Amino acid sequence: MPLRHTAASFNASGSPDLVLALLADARLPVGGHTQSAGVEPAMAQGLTSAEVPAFVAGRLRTVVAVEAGTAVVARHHVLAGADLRPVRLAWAARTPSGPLRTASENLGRGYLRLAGRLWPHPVWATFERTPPRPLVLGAIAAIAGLDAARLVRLCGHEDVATVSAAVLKLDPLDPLVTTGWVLAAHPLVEELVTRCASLTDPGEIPATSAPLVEQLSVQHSHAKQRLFHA
Amino acid sequence: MSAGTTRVALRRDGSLDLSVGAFSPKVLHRGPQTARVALVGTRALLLAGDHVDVHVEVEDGCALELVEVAATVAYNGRGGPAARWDVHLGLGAGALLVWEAQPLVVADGADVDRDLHADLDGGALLALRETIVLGRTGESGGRLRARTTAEMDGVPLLVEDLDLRETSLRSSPAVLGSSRQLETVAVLGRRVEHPDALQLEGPGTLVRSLVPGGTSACWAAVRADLLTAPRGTDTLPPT
Amino acid sequence: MPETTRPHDADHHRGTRALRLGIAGPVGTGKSSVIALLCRELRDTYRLGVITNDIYTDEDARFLRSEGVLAPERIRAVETGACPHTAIRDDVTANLLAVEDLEHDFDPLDVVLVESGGDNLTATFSPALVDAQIFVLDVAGGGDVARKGGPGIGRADLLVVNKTDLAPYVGVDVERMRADALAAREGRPVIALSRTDRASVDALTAWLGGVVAAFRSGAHSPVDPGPMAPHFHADGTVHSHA
Ligand SMILES: Nc1nc2c(ncn2[C@@H]2O[C@H](COP(=O)(O)OP(=O)(O)OP(=O)(O)O)[C@@H](O)[C@H]2O)c(=O)[nH]1
Ligand SMILES: [Mg+2]
Repeated sequence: MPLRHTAASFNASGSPDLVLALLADARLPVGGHTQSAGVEPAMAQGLTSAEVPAFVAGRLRTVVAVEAGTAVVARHHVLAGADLRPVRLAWAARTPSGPLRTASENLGRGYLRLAGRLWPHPVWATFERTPPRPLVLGAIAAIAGLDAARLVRLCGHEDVATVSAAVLKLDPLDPLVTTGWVLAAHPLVEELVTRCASLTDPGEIPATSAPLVEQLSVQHSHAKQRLFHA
Repeated sequence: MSAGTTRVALRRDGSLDLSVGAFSPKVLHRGPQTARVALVGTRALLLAGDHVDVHVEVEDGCALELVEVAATVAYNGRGGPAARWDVHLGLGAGALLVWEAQPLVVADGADVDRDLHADLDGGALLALRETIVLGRTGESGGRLRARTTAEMDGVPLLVEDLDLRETSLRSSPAVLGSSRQLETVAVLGRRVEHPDALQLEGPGTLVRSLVPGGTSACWAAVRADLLTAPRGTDTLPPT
Repeated sequence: MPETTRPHDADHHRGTRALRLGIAGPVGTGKSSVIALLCRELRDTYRLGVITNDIYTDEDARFLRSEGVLAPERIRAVETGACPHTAIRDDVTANLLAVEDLEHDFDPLDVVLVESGGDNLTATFSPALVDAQIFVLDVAGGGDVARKGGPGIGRADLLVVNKTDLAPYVGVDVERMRADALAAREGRPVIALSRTDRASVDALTAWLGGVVAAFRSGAHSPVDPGPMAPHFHADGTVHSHA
């Protein structure tokens, strides 16, 4: 578990926009290509590509708010030198699906591996072996100088981009169509910024649930045929 | 309107405190440290601006089962303020509470804010079955926001904000899709095995279904198991 | 891309953690069979674990479990999001985590075998994931495949030309194919393998024994075959795809 670390210096230098671009790049080697952000199980249950924008919108207003809120509060805790344990517990209580917690923890390990090499900092030594992704993202933001609003944009963009890339593997579509979904989601991502960017307390992290996403994640974990982990 | 707090408290010494609010508690069974109590509505529920407040307390080592006799319909509020439905559950160490809530039917035009908070001490067990139905026959249903917070020894176990107020969000294929009904069996304090279960990180399990009756078999098994499991004190007859 | 050594924590681990051996090669050439063979032959010599990269099912993991060559829980499948190439080369995170988990859960292991999802001739493992790799071709793919080259054929630690028992049926001259491969590989080892040919099986296990010994002594240096070896064009120019 993350322990209190001595508030080391956060002398991030450089451009937050470039850090955001780096982290939002689908080629970031953190295992993102193994994830579908729930769209593979949804399509297996009959979701059509025409319905994907509504699926994305539902995610951005529910489970992605949990993710983004957790990341923002984690960032705040790291900057304040505070214990991350309450943030982790708040995230876990808001993530009732075991497969979705595991998916987040796998990604978290990937980001932790990346962050430890790219942004060496004493905080990484305080992390447990399988931190959920938003905890690591929040800490990266704190260390690399990404403000809370950009951190939320990263979470929102990443989710819709993951769905869109996965759909291309599942359904023959023009990639310009799926890229259009990412662009069309921008207003919802900005709504998420308004909702999450100023949070500081673990108790304030949104807990909005998406019953179908959660249910399908469990079914997917039993599926014999799948391209994506979750 | 507020009808005062409905209170059911089963004390360590076996005494039972009851007070009448929107529901009138009726004792169906009594044992030295066990009770089965029915919650009977005292008036038409749920109208705009209503505030229903239910407090249930089960002290250390006691076992309580709550039953309801009829579904609750939240009626068209015609633009009035949202109806509030607050539930506070407190379970002492080793206490058991089993509650099968009857469906909450949210009619067109209704607006309901349901807030359930459960505090469990170590070794406590809570089994709750809830059914949400959006709309009566032929309706698409009103607005509902159902928040649930459960803590075990002060640590959050489940925090959920089911926001079904806007049709566009509710009908997203990520949320409820075309379903208008959601059943949930929540077992907090320990896990139960079920192929489709959501296993919480802490000791607890949610089993959900979007089809009517989808959790009936699971609930029957959970209830029978919890009520007949050997306990320190007397057990409730499963009826 | 120049040959590079393992870019991260290998030195820290070398000799203490398991040897990580990748098995790559086109679809159906016998990657899973080679793994099954190695497990069957060496399970009493080494403590083994296996990771498979399944494209659409956990077929490879299930095949290996059904072969009964290893305890089923030592064989794990990793999803690759339909990108088997990415999972062993550009972003090895999912595989690396699976390898680490196996090593953690069955500590100590001597060798972890990682099967790549069947891909084309350009797919090779990143040295960030494996210490050594075998590239598997088969005679049924045609006698001239070895000459076509590519990073796996050219520079994997071992090239296996599999299913030599089928050579007469597909009109392939195994000796010729082996000679082509040796030439393409500038002398790096080539084994013409058939599960029915005892001597070839012994050659394979002896090769692995040598790699394990070198790894343990610290003498083994992982080599990156690179995404695409420099090659000649008809006009005589040489270039390299970076
Ligand atoms: N005759 C013969 N057949 C072999 C030999 N080795 C493998 N095979 C057969 O070749 C087929 C493919 O073998 P696999 O081991 O599944 O090949 P793979 O490379 O793992 O295949 P993918 O994972 O689908 O890419 C199977 O039918 C094997 O039985 C061999 O030495 N001789
Ligand atoms: Mg195979």
